[in-house]
Amino acid sequence: MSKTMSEINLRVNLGGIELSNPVTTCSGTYGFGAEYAAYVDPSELGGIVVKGVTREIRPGNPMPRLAETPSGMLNSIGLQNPGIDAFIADYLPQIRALETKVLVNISGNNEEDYAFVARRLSEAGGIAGIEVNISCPNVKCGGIQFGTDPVMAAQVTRAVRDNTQLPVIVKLSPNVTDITAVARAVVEAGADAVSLINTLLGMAIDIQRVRPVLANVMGGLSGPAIKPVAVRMVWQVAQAVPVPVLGMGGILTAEDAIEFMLAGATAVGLGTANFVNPAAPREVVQGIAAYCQARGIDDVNKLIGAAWK
Amino acid sequence: MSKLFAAEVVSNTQVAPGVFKLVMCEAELARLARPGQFLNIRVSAGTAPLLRRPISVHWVEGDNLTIIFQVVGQGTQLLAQVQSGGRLDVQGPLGHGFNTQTSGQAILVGGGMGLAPLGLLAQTLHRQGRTTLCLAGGRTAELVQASGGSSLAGLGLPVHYATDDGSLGLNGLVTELLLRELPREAVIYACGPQPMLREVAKLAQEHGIPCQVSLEEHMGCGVGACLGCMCKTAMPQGKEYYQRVCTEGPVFDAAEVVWQ
Ligand SMILES: Cc1cc2nc3c(=O)[nH]c(=O)nc-3n(C[C@H](O)[C@H](O)[C@H](O)COP(=O)(O)OP(=O)(O)OC[C@H]3O[C@@H](n4cnc5c(N)ncnc54)[C@H](O)[C@@H]3O)c2cc1C
Ligand SMILES: Cc1cc2nc3c(=O)[nH]c(=O)nc-3n(C[C@H](O)[C@H](O)[C@H](O)COP(=O)(O)O)c2cc1C
Ligand code: FES
Repeated sequence: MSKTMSEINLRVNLGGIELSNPVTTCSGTYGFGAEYAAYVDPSELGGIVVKGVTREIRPGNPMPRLAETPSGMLNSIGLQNPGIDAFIADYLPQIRALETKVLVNISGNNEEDYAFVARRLSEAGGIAGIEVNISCPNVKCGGIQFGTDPVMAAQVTRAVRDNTQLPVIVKLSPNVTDITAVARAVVEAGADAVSLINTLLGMAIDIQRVRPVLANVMGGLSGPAIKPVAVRMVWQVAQAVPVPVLGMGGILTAEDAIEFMLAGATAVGLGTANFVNPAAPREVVQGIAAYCQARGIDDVNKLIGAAWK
Repeated sequence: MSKLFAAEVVSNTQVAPGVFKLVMCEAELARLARPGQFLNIRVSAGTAPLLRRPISVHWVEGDNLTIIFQVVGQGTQLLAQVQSGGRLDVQGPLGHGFNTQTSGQAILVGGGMGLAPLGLLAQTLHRQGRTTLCLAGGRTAELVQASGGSSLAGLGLPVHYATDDGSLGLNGLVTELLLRELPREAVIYACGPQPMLREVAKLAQEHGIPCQVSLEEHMGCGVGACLGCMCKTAMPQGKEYYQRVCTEGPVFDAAEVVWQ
């Protein structure tokens, strides 16, 4: 018997975080939550992930920080943010007031930074969970990214785990040979869920100026161009670890989001899509429900990993 | 507050080689738009190009808004092909525009496509009954008129011209026109290429005249969420910090801008 839209269960559980639907927005593309509120009411979303926060204030990279590429874009923002104390004082009160689940994305130069920021956020309270960005360079280890080494990734995860009771989602970097090795390592170290993918390292050269387009030379590729890579990695990771996966990378439409869920994602994130179509998150929620209805599926959880069999 | 609109395209005509004037009808957008604000326009239903294109509001009349744009790449090429009767996916109005709550004579300085946003500013100042002088520069007479010069003149405001080829007004730079007017009790509003703006800012500072400049940057989101469109600014003798061209700008106090 076919279900009406309202009878379809859209709720999912992302590592202990109850989301009213599987659609979230990605860190760094949604500001601190208020910037897009005029287009989609945050209460219509399963959750939002706010811009990466670090222990100290970070001015960010020099300009230019953006380059458009075929069906995608490169960014080298450089984690510009006000630092954890100013974040808690100036932004958290308005973020808490949003009627949705809010995850705060955190970054650091070493384990102590991650631990410190996680502890401060837990003490401050009022958020649903922490997303740990391990795609930043480890200053101590000569700039190698935490996210490219399973041992370092596990250490960072444990440092966060030991300093918070909040659900911990570790955000994986796609710039690795075997993403499942890092995924297994962070889950063993206590991650409640994993999110993927972060941006793919790329670059573009201005042939008129004969210089790299980005002042920082290299940047992170996002948008539809990376979607097939992201779907493949979600497929691999979701089957390799026992925790839920938050899938992202190039999702523009409900069809894209459904593909991620069929590959094994419990929830999805929209990043670059917001720039292209600020109404996209709402359209994706509606489109997922419509897909379920058309197929007589009463629970969105039945989509998760359905393509494996 | 900005929103998404499916604005009806009333007309889209080539007004000079490579320069187009597009009129759209969207009552709410027309009511909300302030001088110096911009629209973020989706030029392709697909993903090529992926990002929206920021274009200033040139003119507002009733429910109609006009933009003027120059074809410089794929995005503006697609915009040039938009047919009247169709719909345009427009996000806006965006950004912090010109502050018109100023006093004294207003001197509007525009170079090239930078003339476009000065149209709505001139309309607003005109309505306020402010004494306004327009200085319009560009490559040729045809381009200066098409980029917004003729709209300024159409309001009955005095317009002095400067062209690279001498086909209209002074054979030279718009900043030379500005220098002729200084010093005086006034406020300067400027939009145009970076080198022009830097020179205008310098002249304003030397003569102690307040000056607002409208800047351009490549944009990701247009709403302040991505931190991709930064402009380096500083309080006089203060620490430098980045501000968002799409949100704190595109119009900045010229004295704050750290010119690159
Ligand atoms: C607030 C704001 C208001 C603007 N108002 C107008 C306007 O009223 N009329 C108009 O013709 N143009 C305006 N522009 C510039 C316009 O956005 C760009 O020309 C357009 O995005 C180019 O897109 P494209 O795909 O055709 O070119 P692309 O292929 O993207 O680029 C072609 C060339 O233009 C340069 N360019 C592209 N985007 C920008 C940008 N945002 N700022 C500066 N240079 C750029 C590129 O570096 C390249 O050299 C404005 C820009 C901003 C930021
Ligand atoms: C401008 C920009 C800024 C970003 N900033 C962050 C960040 O601070 N922390 C983080 O973990 N990921 C960041 N990301 C990565 C996104 O959260 C997301 O993982 C990636 O863009 C892939 O999704 P998309 O293709 O839907 O954009 C950023 C992406 C963009 C485009
Ligand atoms: S374009 Fe994204 S912050 Fe300005």
